Amino acid sequence: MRNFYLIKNGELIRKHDTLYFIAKKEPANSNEDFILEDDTIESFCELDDESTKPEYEKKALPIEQIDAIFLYGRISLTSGAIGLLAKKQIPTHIFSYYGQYLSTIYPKETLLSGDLHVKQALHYANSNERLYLAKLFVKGSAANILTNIRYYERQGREISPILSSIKERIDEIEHMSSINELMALEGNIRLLYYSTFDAIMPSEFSFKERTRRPPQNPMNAMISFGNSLVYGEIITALYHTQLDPTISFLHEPSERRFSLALDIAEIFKPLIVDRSIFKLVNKKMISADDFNQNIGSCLLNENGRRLFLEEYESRLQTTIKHRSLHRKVSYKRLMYLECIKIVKHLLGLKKYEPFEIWW
Amino acid sequence: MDLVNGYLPSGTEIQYYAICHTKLWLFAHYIRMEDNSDDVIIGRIIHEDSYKREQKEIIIHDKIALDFVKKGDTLVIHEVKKEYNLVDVHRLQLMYYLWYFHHILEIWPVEGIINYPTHKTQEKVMLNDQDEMLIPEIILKIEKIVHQSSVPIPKKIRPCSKCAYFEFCWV
Ligand code: SF4
Repeated sequence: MRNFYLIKNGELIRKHDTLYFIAKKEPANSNEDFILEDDTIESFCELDDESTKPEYEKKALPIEQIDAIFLYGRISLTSGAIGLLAKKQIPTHIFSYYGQYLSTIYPKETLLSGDLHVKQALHYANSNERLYLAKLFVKGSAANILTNIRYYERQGREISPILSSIKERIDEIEHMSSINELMALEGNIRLLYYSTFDAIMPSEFSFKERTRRPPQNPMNAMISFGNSLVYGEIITALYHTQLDPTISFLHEPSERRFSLALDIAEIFKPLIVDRSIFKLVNKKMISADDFNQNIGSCLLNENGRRLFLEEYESRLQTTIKHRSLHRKVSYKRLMYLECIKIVKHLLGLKKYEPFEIWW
Repeated sequence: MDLVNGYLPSGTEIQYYAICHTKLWLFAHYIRMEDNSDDVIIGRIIHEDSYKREQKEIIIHDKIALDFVKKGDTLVIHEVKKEYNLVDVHRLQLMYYLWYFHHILEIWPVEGIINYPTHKTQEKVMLNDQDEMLIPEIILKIEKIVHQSSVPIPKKIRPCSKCAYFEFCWV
């Protein structure tokens, strides 16, 4: 199972049990999973009869192999297409032109357990239980951050003082007595982490500081783009469990609709997003030409998105031998397993231990 | 029926009771894994293809789904199974159905046959007096497990490797 990323403008339609994507024809050698048309002009995308327009083509999507669809282009969906996505239980995540997460077409929930739902809510409502889980999310995230920068320290980069500060902060997690304190500490660790980026990355990808809406430079553009992908990925994983994605522990449930996905995404960003970025940049797979730089904003352009998505998807498909399952699992599957571990915690079956990179 | 307080498990729950109590509890509490394992699909195909001609499928009280034919005075109920390795489990499930017909639906005589089309074999199941006593006991045990507030701790057993809950139990 894999994701499908549509980064081109077009239309999704259904004929019987097949989903088709209609869009402008691509040059012969392009990768069909990643199709982008760079077009900022807002207009409706209406293609009445594709057969009358030779420049358009209709492609069947391999719906049985699709785990989730990520929409980046301006794409019209017919009610038939939405119905088929629901029937095949494929969540469809929608992003803005700027790559920001907008919304998910969430298929009807089929896996509900009243019992688990009550337990999840009780864990949220009990401040000790909530703090307990929230701390573990921060710990997992911090541990993975530490693994990332330890690697660069071994490579001889000048980051030892920051590394020790991060370690000190990690020791403080245990002593936090409220969610607010914990959130502040988490933000602090993340800032320290980002402050190592300029020592890790070549100067044309200078990071300076984290800027979000909109990102101000290529590094920020990639972080924003990648983080929303992981957020979508966790929403997909949650959909396949009985967890309620709106009841979270670290983040406030009011913060975003699927706030539990925010909690879990923290743990995976260092492995999935940051490492994709380090690789793309340090191996010179991506360059300044792959961004659209405007005054006050910087975004991945068509080619940049393709490059990023290819690297990201191949990382999701990377497998590792699981320590307790003794089976090969993909990074993508690790995210699902993380949700399962939370289910077990809520059921009182096994105390949750956050995912930490073990290799 | 007084004996069983009115609680009657489904055929699946009887099977899971015989295989693993963790599985039984999780299933009964709607903690279900998405079954995309090939086993389940193959099982369904076998079921749909093998016995199309003679049988009709009936679903009783939402708990029991089986195929049946009538042979003279005797009702013969058929179960179709893929693998031979859980014969005891299949037998218990069918025994429960026979008991169900006898005591709940008050239909008698009934005979049971388990079919293994991939092995081209059949297995006949009867209910003797001892079994008649055994079934209500099992029903009570299942009810107790399902109503307990915590999940029975998983224990590693042979069926784990093919179980849909494998990742759940061992992650
Ligand atoms: S994996 Fe093993 S312990 Fe877990 S439910 Fe299945 S059979 Fe039972």
